[in-house]
Amino acid sequence: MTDAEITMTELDDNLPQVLADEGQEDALVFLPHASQEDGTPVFSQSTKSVLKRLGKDGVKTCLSADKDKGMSFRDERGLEWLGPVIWIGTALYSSNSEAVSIALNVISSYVYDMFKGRERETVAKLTVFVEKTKKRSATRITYRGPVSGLAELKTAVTKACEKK
Amino acid sequence: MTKQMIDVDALLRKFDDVAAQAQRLAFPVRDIALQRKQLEETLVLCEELRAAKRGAIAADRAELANILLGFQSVARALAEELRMWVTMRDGDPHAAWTALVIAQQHAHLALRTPMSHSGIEEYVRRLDMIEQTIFPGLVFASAGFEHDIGRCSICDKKFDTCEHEEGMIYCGQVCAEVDFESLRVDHVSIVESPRDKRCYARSFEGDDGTLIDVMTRLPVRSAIPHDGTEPAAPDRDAKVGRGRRVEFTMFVNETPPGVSR
Repeated sequence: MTDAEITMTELDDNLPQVLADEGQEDALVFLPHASQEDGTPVFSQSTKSVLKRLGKDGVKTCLSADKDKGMSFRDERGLEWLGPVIWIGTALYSSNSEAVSIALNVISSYVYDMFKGRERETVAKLTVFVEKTKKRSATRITYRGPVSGLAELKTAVTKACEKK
Repeated sequence: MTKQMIDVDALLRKFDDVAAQAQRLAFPVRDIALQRKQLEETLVLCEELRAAKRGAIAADRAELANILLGFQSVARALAEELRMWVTMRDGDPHAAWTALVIAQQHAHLALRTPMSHSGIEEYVRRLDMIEQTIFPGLVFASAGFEHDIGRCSICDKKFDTCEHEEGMIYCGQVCAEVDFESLRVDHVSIVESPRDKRCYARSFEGDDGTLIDVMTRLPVRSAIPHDGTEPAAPDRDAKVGRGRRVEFTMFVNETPPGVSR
């Protein structure tokens, strides 16, 4: 098993605006990984179960997609956990900074439960965007590494949230 | 104590006997006839544990169902290990590999049940050791799929409307999302760690254009079993540039261990 790799990239070029549902600005937003040719958003397969787990733990979430227009889910058959792409808006962090920490703990615990007994050989991949105060700019943090290293991602995300 | 509990207790005592005997015979030097007989007995035990688990599920006894899932998983892992030794001695290393992978999958599942203890961890390590020492290094494949929202294997509701989480154990059953209406292959990659090690390169093209079995290193006409038709002979024209033809199993269409359908 390789060590955890955490990459932080500053994105300052007019990012597309991420709009949480009205009244959900303080929610953790799940973004698609990609889109199909017809524009249908593609989320990671893990997204649905992570949303359920977070909901049970009282973390407010929302999916950045129009359910009526359809969505698709990508299932990678490698021994690699492809986590959701998460957007942390300024409204969420300023109103409830604890939620970010709880969310990352919950995700880490879900992945651990899912791969118990194979934690050493399982690679987790997760991307988190932290919105900056300046509109349409963000820090992108990507994690690729062992399930046990997800705590390091939490430290990096917290740092990015505090920096902005 | 209820009659059902007495039956379960007896079944778990039987498990102890059968599992001990299966472990005693899980060596390549043991008599193959004894191994075959033990394999059959262990598979019968698996069915009995499965039936008992279904009874526990029907009675909504989640804790008992989870324990029985653990015993069932270990019994199946032991059976598959025996099958591995038997099929290997029968001269079918691909069937032996498949049996080993299934044994590992069930042993890993047992680790996630209340039955999990250091003995199971040790058994998982034993299977890993067999993989590393008995079989050659293999090249694995992994297919990526895109699909719509399927149904929950636990409650049969649309997967985004129920509370069950994929991969978690509920009352003796592993939750999976199944029955997609639209499913398409997005890509196929060569990976170091596939989710299913039964997806691997089974043969490759040698210098003279013949296909070589990755296990035996003997020439094969086709490594992939066909539907009764005569497999095509290796085709030298199939070479593209300086590449070589490789035959893979890309995907095994089975629900994961512990998923009830």
